Amino acid sequence: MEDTRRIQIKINGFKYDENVKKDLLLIDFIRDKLFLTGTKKSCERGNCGACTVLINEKAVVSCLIFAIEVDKKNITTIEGLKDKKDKMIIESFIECGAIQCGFCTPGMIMTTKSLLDKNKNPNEKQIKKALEGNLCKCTGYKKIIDAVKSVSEKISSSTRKENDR
Amino acid sequence: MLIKNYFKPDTICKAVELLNKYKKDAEILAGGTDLTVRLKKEKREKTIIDIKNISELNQIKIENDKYIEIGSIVTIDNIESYFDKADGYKALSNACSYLGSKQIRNRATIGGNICNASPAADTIGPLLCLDAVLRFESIDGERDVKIEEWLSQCTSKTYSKMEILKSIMLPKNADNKIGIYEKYSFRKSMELALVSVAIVCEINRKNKIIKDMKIGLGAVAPIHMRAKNAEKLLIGKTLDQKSINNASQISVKEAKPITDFRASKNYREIIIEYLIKKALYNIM
Repeated sequence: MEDTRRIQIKINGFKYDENVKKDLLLIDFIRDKLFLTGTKKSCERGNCGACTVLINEKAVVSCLIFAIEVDKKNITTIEGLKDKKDKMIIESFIECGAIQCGFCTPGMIMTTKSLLDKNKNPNEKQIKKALEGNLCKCTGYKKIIDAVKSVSEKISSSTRKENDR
Repeated sequence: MLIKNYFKPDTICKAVELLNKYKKDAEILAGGTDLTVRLKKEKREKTIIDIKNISELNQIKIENDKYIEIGSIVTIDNIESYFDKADGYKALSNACSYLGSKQIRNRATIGGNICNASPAADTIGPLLCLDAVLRFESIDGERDVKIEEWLSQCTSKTYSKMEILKSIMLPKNADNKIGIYEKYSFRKSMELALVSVAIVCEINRKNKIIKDMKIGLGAVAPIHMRAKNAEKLLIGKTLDQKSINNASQISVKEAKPITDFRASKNYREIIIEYLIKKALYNIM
């Protein structure tokens, strides 16, 4: 059997058709083949969450997935966050001072997006639970939690305004 | 090159044929949250049989109102939400919520957690208390085995492993029971249990008399175990401070914790007693 396989993956809305080595990890496919370096490589064991991406809207760690496993699947990386709600999450992290070195941030934001897509108004306990797979060595987490609370309030109130119209 | 061959069969028959062909060279890949970590660490070439395309393994069915059949590749996250109701199966849902992180739960599967068979695995304690039966498929056909029996089999040196877990059958008798899972670990998440306690019990709400009691202990013996002496002590009795104290002390004697780099035997014994009391008080 050859060492490579042809795979077709949709990433951030674009279809990629590539020949990859069978043991190429998804994180390396994203970063080294496609040069989407927003997704970070850190523990490489699924513990830190820095490599978090969404597969069919579910948050997963890309360091434990082989690219060939996700042939024909839909993936979203931090570079794919384009709509209004996604940008509000990013702005909230900036405004609340939830970013220091920034290395954990893409993973934190992807997990936050996944949380808020399912639960528009999480309480503090739910936010902490949702982010339990994302480590930060800089901030002490408080401002990250504040950023998530703040954006969820903004999203909830802007949804109410839209519904009232 | 970690992957010598990669197959993604769409039926269990094809998967089993591949396993029979490649034998010890083969690894079954489901969520990858255990296997891929190990592959990266061991750096040996393996034949990967990816079973995620076998749709019959990714369903939860209710058979004749007698059994719930859970496909082996159903993710931990899906198990958590499916069984999130106030009945005996809640022990399984709770256990799933304590496993790893959301990112891990979105990929990890119940079959993987069982077959990896860590003494600290979160789902095994509740499955033991729910009288789970494991359904395996091999080149010789299908076989059903009670999880308690399988835990002894898979840790024996003669176990050959040439079978694939198809599904987990849970008797549909826990609807009017109470299920709970308590996990003690040094960190609140992304941590192995130092001690875990699963309880599935039936109790008369008015007079607190215990009709049925199953206690599953994890991480306190080479394999998950039922605290059968503690169970016998409690069945037919009133759940109160006295019976809770007795049961927790008996459980400590039944368990076989060791001293290792994570904790001493003495510390583990203290935690076993504490966790059982905590679980039983929550039920009371």
